[in-house]
Amino acid sequence: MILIILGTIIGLLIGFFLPFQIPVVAVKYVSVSFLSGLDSVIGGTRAGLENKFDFGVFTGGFFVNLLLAAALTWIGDLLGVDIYQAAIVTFGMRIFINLSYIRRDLFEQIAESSILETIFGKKQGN
Amino acid sequence: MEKMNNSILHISKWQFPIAVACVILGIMVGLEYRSKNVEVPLQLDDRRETLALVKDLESQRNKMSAELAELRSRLADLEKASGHNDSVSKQMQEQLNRSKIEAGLTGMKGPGIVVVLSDSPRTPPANADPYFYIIHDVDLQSLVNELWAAGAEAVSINDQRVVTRTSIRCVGPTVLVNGVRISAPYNVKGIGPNDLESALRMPGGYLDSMAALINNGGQVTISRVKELTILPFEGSMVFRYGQSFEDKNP
Repeated sequence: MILIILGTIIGLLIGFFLPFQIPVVAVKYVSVSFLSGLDSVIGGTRAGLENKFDFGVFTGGFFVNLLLAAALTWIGDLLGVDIYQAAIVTFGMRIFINLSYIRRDLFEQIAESSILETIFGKKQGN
Repeated sequence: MEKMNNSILHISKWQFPIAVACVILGIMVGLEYRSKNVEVPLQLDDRRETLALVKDLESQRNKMSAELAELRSRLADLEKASGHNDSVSKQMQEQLNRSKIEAGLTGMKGPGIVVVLSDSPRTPPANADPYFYIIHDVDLQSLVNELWAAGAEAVSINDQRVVTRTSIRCVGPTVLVNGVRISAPYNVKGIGPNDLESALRMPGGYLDSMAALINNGGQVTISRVKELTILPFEGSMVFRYGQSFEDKNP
């Protein structure tokens, strides 16, 4: 868990101090892509907690979702229909559903072990 | 190994790709946040302040132009008082009057035309360009240009006399002429020969160039007037950088 938080912080810092800015036209694409990426990350976390994580599925899904979300937004702009709203609704729903599973997984694990074990891990000897 | 997953400090293998993905998402959020910050100068508060400043400056200018009018009338009195002494000063007086007429500092009467330009009352449909529903500075500029070219001797827009240093430009929904804000409908007067009207109605001329606006409901009406009055230029001209000279080779 600490690795994921660390990764987010490092990414934020890089984003803040990068020497260039995204053009105003691209702002919408980046935000829709961000939502799809968040969906992949949360889905991956759930899979990891349930010991079903697959590297190929996660990486492929992450990048394909990023591109697909941006492409949907672009097509929507071409047609004059806000298709990106469909992406927002779908990904938003999936994020909340997966979050509820993560919550349940975490609660079950906490119930299985003591709080100290949850924080510091079980001793290797056991 | 399965039970190790429940630790917060413990790092499982599957967390590495997710952490990398989080780095990418973090970069996106950081960039997005900064690009949002760029638009801050366009906030409403800022505009309100600017608007207040403009209003303040405009009231100041109105006060000063009232002062200027008073000083002008005193100057005219003094000129009159000194005028009827000898022939030299009389000649100078005549020259002065002529220069004033040429500079547009006196009112003018005579035959001419009045052109009234008004914005379209319709709201432009979503797929139409709103540019062709309102009158712009360029429309007034080319109209004034056309009038001068056709031989006009005095031109004014909404009673703002067009003189040597007059500028015409759009500021939001209004137009600035001589630094004074005016808004539609625009009343452009021109004193000059009868040709003024036909110059505007010439095929491919000014009226044709306004066809897009007229099609959208805007109005351009041209009427000939036998006796027209055009007010004098009321602003002041300060020359800070230029110096006048008489000879052709300074």
